[in-house]
Formats: sequence, C-alpha cells, structure tokens
Amino acid sequence: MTRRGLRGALRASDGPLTDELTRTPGGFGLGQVPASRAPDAVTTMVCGFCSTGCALDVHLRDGEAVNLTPSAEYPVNRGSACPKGWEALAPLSAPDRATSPMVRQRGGSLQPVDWPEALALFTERFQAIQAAHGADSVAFLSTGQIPTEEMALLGAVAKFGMGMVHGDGNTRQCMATSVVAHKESFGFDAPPYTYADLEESDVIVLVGSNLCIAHPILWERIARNSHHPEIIVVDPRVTETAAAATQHYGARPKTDLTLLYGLAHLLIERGAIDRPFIAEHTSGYEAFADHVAAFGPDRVAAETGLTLDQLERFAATIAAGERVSFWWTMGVNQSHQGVRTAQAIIDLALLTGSIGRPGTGANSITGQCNAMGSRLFSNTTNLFGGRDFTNPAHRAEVAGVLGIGVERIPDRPSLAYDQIIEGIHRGTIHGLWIVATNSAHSWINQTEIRDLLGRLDFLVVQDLYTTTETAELADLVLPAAGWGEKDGTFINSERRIGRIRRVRRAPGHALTDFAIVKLIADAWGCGEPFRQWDSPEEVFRILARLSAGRPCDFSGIESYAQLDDGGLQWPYPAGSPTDGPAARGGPERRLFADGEFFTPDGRARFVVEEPVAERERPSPRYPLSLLTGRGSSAQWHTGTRTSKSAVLRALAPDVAYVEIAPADAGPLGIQASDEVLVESARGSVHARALVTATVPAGHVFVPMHDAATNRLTFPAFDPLSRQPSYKTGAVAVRLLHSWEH
Amino acid sequence: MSDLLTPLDRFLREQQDLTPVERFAQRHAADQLSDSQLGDTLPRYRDLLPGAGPGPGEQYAFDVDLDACSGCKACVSACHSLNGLDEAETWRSVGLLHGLDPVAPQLQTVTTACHHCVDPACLNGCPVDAYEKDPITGIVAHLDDQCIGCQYCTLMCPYEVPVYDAGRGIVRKCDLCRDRLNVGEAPACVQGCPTDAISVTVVSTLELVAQARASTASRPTTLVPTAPDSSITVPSTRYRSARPLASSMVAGDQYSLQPAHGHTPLAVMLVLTQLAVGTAALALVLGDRITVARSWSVAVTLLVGVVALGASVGHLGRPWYAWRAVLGVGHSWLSREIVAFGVFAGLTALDAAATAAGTRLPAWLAPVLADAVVAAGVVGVVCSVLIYAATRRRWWRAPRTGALFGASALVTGGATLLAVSVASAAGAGGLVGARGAVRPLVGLVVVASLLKLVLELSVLRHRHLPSEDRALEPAAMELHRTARLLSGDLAPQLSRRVIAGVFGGVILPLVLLAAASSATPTVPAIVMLALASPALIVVAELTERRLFFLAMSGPRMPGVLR
Repeated sequence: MTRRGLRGALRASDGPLTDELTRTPGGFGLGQVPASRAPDAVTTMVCGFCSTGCALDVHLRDGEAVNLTPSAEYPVNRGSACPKGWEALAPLSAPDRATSPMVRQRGGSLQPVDWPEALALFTERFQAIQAAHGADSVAFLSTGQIPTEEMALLGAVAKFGMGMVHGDGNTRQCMATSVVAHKESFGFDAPPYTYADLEESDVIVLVGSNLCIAHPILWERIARNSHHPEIIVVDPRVTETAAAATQHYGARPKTDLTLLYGLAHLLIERGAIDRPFIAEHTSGYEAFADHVAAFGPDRVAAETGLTLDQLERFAATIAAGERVSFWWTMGVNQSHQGVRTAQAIIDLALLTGSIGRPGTGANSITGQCNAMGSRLFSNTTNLFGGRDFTNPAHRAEVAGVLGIGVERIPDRPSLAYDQIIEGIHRGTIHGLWIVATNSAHSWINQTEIRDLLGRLDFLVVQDLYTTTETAELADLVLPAAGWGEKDGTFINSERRIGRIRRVRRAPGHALTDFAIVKLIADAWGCGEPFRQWDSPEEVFRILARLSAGRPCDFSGIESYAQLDDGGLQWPYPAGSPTDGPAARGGPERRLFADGEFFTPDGRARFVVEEPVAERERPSPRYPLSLLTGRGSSAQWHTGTRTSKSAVLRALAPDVAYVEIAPADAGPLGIQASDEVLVESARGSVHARALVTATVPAGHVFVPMHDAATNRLTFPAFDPLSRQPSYKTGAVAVRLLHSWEH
Repeated sequence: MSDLLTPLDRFLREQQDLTPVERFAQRHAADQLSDSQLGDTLPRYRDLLPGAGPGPGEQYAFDVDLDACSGCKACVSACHSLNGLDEAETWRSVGLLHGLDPVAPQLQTVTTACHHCVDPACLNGCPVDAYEKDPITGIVAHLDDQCIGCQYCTLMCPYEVPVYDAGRGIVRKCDLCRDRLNVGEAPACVQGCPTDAISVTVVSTLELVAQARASTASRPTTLVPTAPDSSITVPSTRYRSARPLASSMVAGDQYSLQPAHGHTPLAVMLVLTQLAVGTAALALVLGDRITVARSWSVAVTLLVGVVALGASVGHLGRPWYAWRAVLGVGHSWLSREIVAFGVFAGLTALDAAATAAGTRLPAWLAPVLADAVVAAGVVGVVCSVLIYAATRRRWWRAPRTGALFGASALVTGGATLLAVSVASAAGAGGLVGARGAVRPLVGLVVVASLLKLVLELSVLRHRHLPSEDRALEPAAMELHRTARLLSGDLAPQLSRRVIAGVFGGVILPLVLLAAASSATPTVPAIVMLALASPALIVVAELTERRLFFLAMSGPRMPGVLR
C-alpha cells in the first residue's frame, strides 16, 4: 500500500455524519435539496410577514411542510425571499405555542381550560359587560396578519352579530395615513402601482423608507432596473438604503412636508410640470401653487437643514426624469402630519404627470402581509369593500349581499385605536378582544396602554403564543393557528390577491381564527346569519360579491384555483378572462392609466396644509431627538414570531442598542459598547451604545423591535388618520455606572 | 358522519387534517420539470457561475459585490435551509461596517462565509487530517466522519468559520456547495441573494499569495476594513466595491465584549502537563540536593501527567478516535504535542518503574531516563506554546505564551517539588533532607510567581481605547478587547487568580522559609505550608489558564452588535 493509500485508509471520508449533510436532486425544479428534507410534493403560498407578498414554494412530505424555497416564477419575488420568508416555518414549532384556551386565575397564572368552558366564559363576560354598559362597551382590535376571510368573519360577527360598534384594523399603526391620503386625493384607498414600476423608473424617490431592510425584495426589484435610475432617499439617517442610493437627503426629522412643498416650488419655478395632465385630470392646482409659493428654497433650506445646492439637485433630478416614481413608508405614515405629507408626495406626482404610466406613481408601500385586506374587509373603520358606515346606501348594499337585516349594521363609524384605548380610560370601553396583534409592545407610550389594558373588566387575546406581552395581560387566551396552518388569501401592496394554505398541523387544540370566530358566534347565539360563511373559500366568494361595483372589484375571481398561477391584482371585475395569460391582464397592472380617478369628478385632488411643528421638541432636560424604526430584515415588528427562529435571532443584534453620533457620545463620556440609559419624560430604556456617524448629531435611533422602546415614544397622532407618530420624541442619554447594569 | 360532529369537533379534526396534496394542483403537476432543466428555469444564476472550471494555479472563490449587498441577510437563511443545517447552525454571516466621519458617513454590510483559503489554517492545524483542499477546485472541505472534535480549527481559523457542535462532537463548515457546482447549480447563498451580490469565480492563487505577502503590521492586507490579516491564510474571497471603504470604518461588533469559550479541560491539561514537566526538570537540575524526594517526584510527575492526558482526551468530542491525532504530525503542532506528551508519559512510567526497581538495574539507565523524560516534556511544552502561537492571535504570540507556560512550569513545578521535598523529608523524620532544596525552591517560586503576574497583568494597559491611528490595526483591537474583558466581565476571576497566586506563590513560601530557618522548626506546620502552596498555585494557574481562553478576542470579520 502506498503512503497516500495508507493515509487514505485512515481518513473516514464518509459515514453517518457525512450523510447528514448529503444533498440530493429535489425534483419540482428545485435543484439540490438536503436529502433529509427532500419533498414528495410542493405547493406555493404567499409569505405571512410583510406586504411585499412573496410566494414561497413549500416542500411537503406526506402533506406536511418540511422546508421551503422562494418561488422562482411568482411575479412578485422571482426566486428570492428575505430571511423572514426563508424561516417562515420555524416559528410554528416554538415551544411556547398556545395549545389550549387559558384562563387567568386569581393568583395571576394562566390555567388551561377546554374550548366549551372558554367559549362560555367569553360569552358570559362580554355579554354581562354589554348588559351593564351598552353594546358598544366591548370593542375589538383586528390585525393585518391573518387572511382576509378570517378578518372579514371577525368584523362581521363582532359588528353584525355581537353588536359591537368599535373595532380597529390595527393597520392604524402602519397604513391609516395612506388610506386617508388615498381616499381624499384619489377618491378611494387605491395604491396605484405595480412592482414592475420599480424596474421601469429612471428616477426613484424613496421618502421615509428603508427599503433594503423593510422590504428587501422590493429593493431586489430596484436592483433589476436596467435604466440606471437615480435613486433618491429622504431620511434623517444614513440607512442601508441611503447608503445604496445615488442621492441621499438627510432632512431633519418631520421636515419632509416642508421639503416636498419646496420641491414643488422649484419645479413650478422651472416650469418642469405637466400642464396638460394637471388641466385634464386634477383639481385644486391653483390653491396648491399659491400654497407652495411660500416655500422658497431659503426657507426650506433653513427648516430642513439641507443646502440650496441639494434642493436644486433634488428638483433638477425630478425635472430631468422621464419616468419618476415616488415611494413612501413609515417615515411618512407614522407622523403627526403624515396624511398631508403623503398627499404632498401625491401632489408632486400629479404636478409632474408621474402617475398611470410605467415607472411612475405616488406609491405607498404597505406594512403587514394583509394590511391591504384589512383596509378593505376588516369591517372596522370602513364598512366592507371600502364603504362608509354612515352612508345608508352603503349599508343597504352590504345588507343585501349578506342577506342580513340592515339594522344589524352600525350607522356610526368606529372609534380609532387610540380612541378605544382612551375609552378604557374614560370608562366607556370595558371589554376588549385582541386578535393577532401585540398592543402591549407595539402601541405608543407603552406604560399607559399596559396600565389601561390591566384596568379592563375582561381582556381576550387570541394569538399563537401565550408569551406575547399582551397575552401576559389577558384574562382569557384563545390558542390560534398560524400562517401555514390555515387557508385563505392575503392582498399585497400592489393589490395582488395571493393564497395561503394549510401545510402544518396546529399544536394541541389550537384552531384557526376562522374556526374560533365561528365557534364564538355559535356560543354567543348569533351564528345563524353567518351559516353561509362556511369555509374560507365560501367567505372569499362573499367578499368578491361585496367588492362588485367598487374600485376594488374582484368579482371576476370565482375560486381559489384562479389564484394559483401568480395571484391576481384587483380590480378584476366579473367578465374578466378566466383562463390563459390574459386572465391576469399581464402579470403586472397599474391603476389610472386612463387618467380617470375614483373621485366623483374623476379628477385627482391636490391637497395642501401648512406644516406644524411636533408637539414634543428637544429641551434642556431631554436634548436629543428620538428616531425609531426597523432594526434588521430578520426581525418582524414585536418579534412574536421572528424571535422564535434561532437563525433570525443570530442575524440581529441580541442586545438593546441605541445609535448615537460621535459628536453626542463624546461630551457624554460614552464609548462604543458602553451601557447607557435612554430616558424620555415617559420612561427609560437600558441600551448599549452604538457610536456611529450614520445617525445625525442631536439625534439617537432605537430599533422598534425591543419591547422597551415604546416606553420612550411620545403619544402624538396624525389628526386625520389617528396614526401614532412613532418616530419622534425628546430623550436624554447618559452613561450607566457599573452598579446600575 | 360529519353531520353528527359538533362544530368544535369538526374544526379540531380539520385542523389535524392537512389539506390533501391533490388540491395543490399547481406545483404538484410540475414535478416533470427535471433538474436538468433547472438551468432553463433559473437562467439568472448562470451569470453568477464561472464559465469554466479552474485551471492550473487557479481555484474557485466567492466573489462579493459590496455595492449590491443591501444587508438583507437572505444568503444566511438560504444556506441554512438549502443545506439542511441544524436549527441554530449558520455557515454564513452578515456583519456591518460603519464610518465615524460625520461629513461622509459610510455604511456597508459585509456577507462572509468560508474563504476557501489558499493556505487554510484549519487544515494546517488539524491533527487528524479532517480537512482537504481539493487540488483542482481549491474548495476546503471538512470530513465530518474523520473529525475527533478537538476544536483546534476553531482557534486556527481567523474567520470563525468552523463551528463546533457538542451534540455530534464535531465541527462543520461551508463546502462551497461543491456538489451543486459539480452539476452546474449555484451555491445556496448565490441562489438566495436577491441582488446577485454573491457569485462564484475562478481566481489565481499566485495573485492571492502575492497580495497577501504585501501585508505589513501597520498596513495589513485585509479582505475588508477590520478583517483579519490576509497573510495568515491567504483567503480567496474577493470583495469588490466601486466606492472604496474607508480604512477607518469600524465593525458593528468592534467593541462587543463577549468572553470566549473557557476550554476547562484544556486549561487543566496545560497546567498539569506544565506542572509535571516543571517538577521533572527541576528535580533533574537540583539533582543531589533533593535525593530524598527523587522517588516521590517521579511518582507525582507520573500521576499528574496521566491526569493531564486524561483531561486532554476528555476534551475531545469523539475521544474514542483520539488515536487519529498522530496523522497530522507532519504539519500540526497539536499532533506533535500529543505525540510528545505521549512519549513523556511513557518515559515517566519507565522512569517510575526503574526508580522502583532501584539498584537491580544498570547504573547508567536512571540518568538517561531522567534526561529523556525532561527532554520529551520540554518538547511537549514547546509544542503547547506553538499550538497557540500558530493561531496568529495577538495575545497568544510565541514570546508571551512561551514565557507564560515556562513560568507556569517553574512556579507549579517548583512548588510541587518543594512540597515533595518537605513532605518526604518530614516522613523520614525531620527537615534535614529538604534543607538544601527549600531556599532555592522558595526563591524560584516567589520570583517566578511575581514575574508571571507582572506579565499577565501587563495586558491591562490596553484597556483604554487605542488611539485613532492604532485603532486601524486589528491586533491593537484584539488586545483592547482582551484588556476590557479582563477588567470587566472577567475581573472577578482575574482577582481570584491574583489572590490565590500571591498567597500560594509568594506569601506561603516566604512564611515557610522563615519557619524552616528558625532554630526550632515546627515540622507539621511547615509540611502544611508546603502542601498548601502548590494547591493554591494550581488553583491560581487553572484560573489563569481559563482566562487565557476566556479573554481571547481574536481577529474576526465585521459582525453585528453583540
């Protein structure tokens, strides 16, 4: 035997440990997959985290999901997903899943009970509260994280069956501002774009949007833009997106409204506006032009902190663009003047005729996976199908489609989220039913809401886990099945309706939200009007009928099967082709190509208002401005699910941290990695200092995912949308002594 | 049947019934789509793979377009899911570099995995040849079934690539998805990146070596700012950017202070082997002065040596394959150390047997054996030093580690020999037999203890932030983090080590000396002192050696805040 041969014999190049990592052709066009998880079937469903709405190919063995990969052919994501999507199955196996209903005992602990007992308790307690304080003293908080069919059933049973009046769609926290802006400017809550616009633009303006982190797959679409677009980011921080952009404007927080008016001023001054479009398809231009006349560059430069040269370059870039698209996210929506800021973005698009054509648009990027479904069908702020509770004709339409008495439909609008919480304080709300949202973590000014939730006569939380900050305050926890354990549809940012499916068994006695609401309706004694709401697909057909004649009409979709091939964007009215490529009207469709808007006169409206200052400004006691936002692409909101994945945990900092500029850290004696205390007038947070120049001097940034962050935030709200202004507040930072750690 | 069920029963049953696969019309029908057609369904990956395989003098390498990397970290998840890794196992990571210049603030995310180095430290250090570098592709692969779980590669690799899994008792790492590449498929991370920032290319190994050789201490060649010096392993990954990254950028975890693994069995093994070798060596040097203790010292050396070897074997993830450690003797200091200490233990056993046999053996044998034992032991300790020096970590450099381990041998060996001398003399009826040994041994222990403490504590001078120019040197940051760990989270352990060391190595020996020098020595008290001193010293040294591991903050790729 040669020396090499001998050594070879002494080296185990295969064996059981080697086999564990064997890869094998997976079939189904997947390429190689881990042999231990090779599928016997594959199905496609939409991801359940954000509103991008990527499709995932779920790998099945005996019908059960064992792995997943991003769908290569879906028009949204084309083979890519962010880490949350890749890890979407992991949170389903967490050990703290709720597996049976749990009731709070006198001692404070939660004890399991069976479903009949839980349903009886739910009914008895809420009915007693309603008997004592009126039907409207029990309210519900819905969510953007469950399928449209489930949230529609919830909204229908709560309002038309149980007599509730007040419910909030929870998208209050992310999209309410856009909804209000769209309704007033376009005549309907209708994001006009399709994702292909990101690939068609030659100028892309991102306002208050850290797309790389918040919507990585939309950034992918920009990366595929072959027109070498100018990418402009307006953000106080040097975010990942700002770093990747071609132009970054670090305007001071909450001065974006002034900046946008200033840009309009410069564009009008240059004559870089689309006069024919303005004349034919808009209203309110004269008042708009008068208004922005007062926003000359000197004033705007002084208020935003940008230079005159920067303003000139920004305006010149828009003026030079053939296909300019404007995009915004939470930096705009979560503001004390968010609606007007969003409308100022729409104004710019109208001014330059940048709407209805490929690569254009004033485009609000949505947050939660089914915020768009919630906006149309949660039956909270709006009546089904974007209708108005106060409109008798609308109530009659809905009663007719549903076959229920019109008197069951409340004739007054719901209180908004913050007003429901305030109602607890004022003694008008005594019972609350929270479904798939984590208010005790995510709501602004957290100390107050935790106190108020504790004061309720009865709090029901319906969620996957017994360990959410909100479930820990509940009197009754109802165990829900999660994404992957239920059927239904989501609507994504570009109005695309996509399928989710049941590919895992829910643990223990957890049930779908659909089943839970059905059981509650029966226990309550109001199940009869909802007999036809028998399955998610039946509900989908009901919703399609409710959408008929509305701008969101998708009555042309008669079954889930039609959604299997890439989903369908609304509108898709009856009579649309049902088969072949034409069925989709092409894979990507945008609104307003004909210049016709949903307003009564068919014209889009210019809307303006004088900017106002934030209510809480830095002071000698709290000298720094607080910024909050998404910290990493691996974390989703309150971390209810993403914190359950070991991989996602590894991808994000595992400590609470605060980004602080070197210029602020130095005088405070703060070195990198020091433990510091961030204090506002409302609370304080322990954090580790990340000293970085990516946050401007005078500001600090705290990621929103940490449960303590909302102790700091200041409860300001947009007066029109009632959306909280999360990204503001005044704080102080100081070094913690070693004994305080 | 179903009509008889209550709605609750129906819902609970439905929830356990997975939707029949038949209803998944769409992709189920697509199973005819064979994998040979994959290239057609996913054409975009073709641009991310090299047109042809590597030729002579070339190898495969990851190529990262930093301008395209947006920090989404999908590459990490894709690798995890497509390679079937454990729940918490990742073969790739994404870190952060950010600038401190307020005029031009920079932000850059950096994705990193195995760099399939031209001169892989993991392979060079592996005592069992569980790594192979493919002669054609250059891929550095790990043979999972060959691994014995010594974890030396986790210390050798400057990029934190091999990760130990205690459950299996082995490390695992990226293999560049070599079987995917073999059939023209892209590696998992390449498939997973939404912005095509990662690709696989063919690079010239000669060029890589030339670039790495240009590295100097003040201007190290690194993959990206703050990364380890490329001259250590000649990594093959290429990071590209049209916007050069300022060398003053700092990593997200640059100042994160996390104690490393304590490696207690290794600490035990190191301290005890050094004790054994020190005892044997000093016994040889002191020769006639301690004749009374000769047999005792041999017995102690043997006993301690056996315990030390036991600890080292117990440290392995798969100890029953420990014999494989001889395979790497041509290149691995760990293999050489194991062989040297194996010989040392064997010779010590022979020595013990010879000592027991006494006069029945030829007279020349005893001194030859004694010399051989010490020679083997010294070679073993030198190997121990080079094991850590070879990692190229700043705090483990050869001069410091050599002084540390040498001083350890003197202090522990001296104190042990002192105890053995005094105890054996006392057993023989008085202190007369130890008189010649006490003074030199006390002097040695006290002086060596103090010098060693000074050496150990001197690292604390780095606890202040390095000045701006030195902050650029990865080595300066390593020592800074070590010093901050020792003066922070690890300060209690450091205090214990100092107190035990001062009592065991300075105060007790001096008291012993004074007591032994008195006109009427109290023998039992002196024996107690002589035994307490090495016991305390061993406690101090074990703590010191655990800190040797715990406070190590090696070079690393940029990470996220920890």
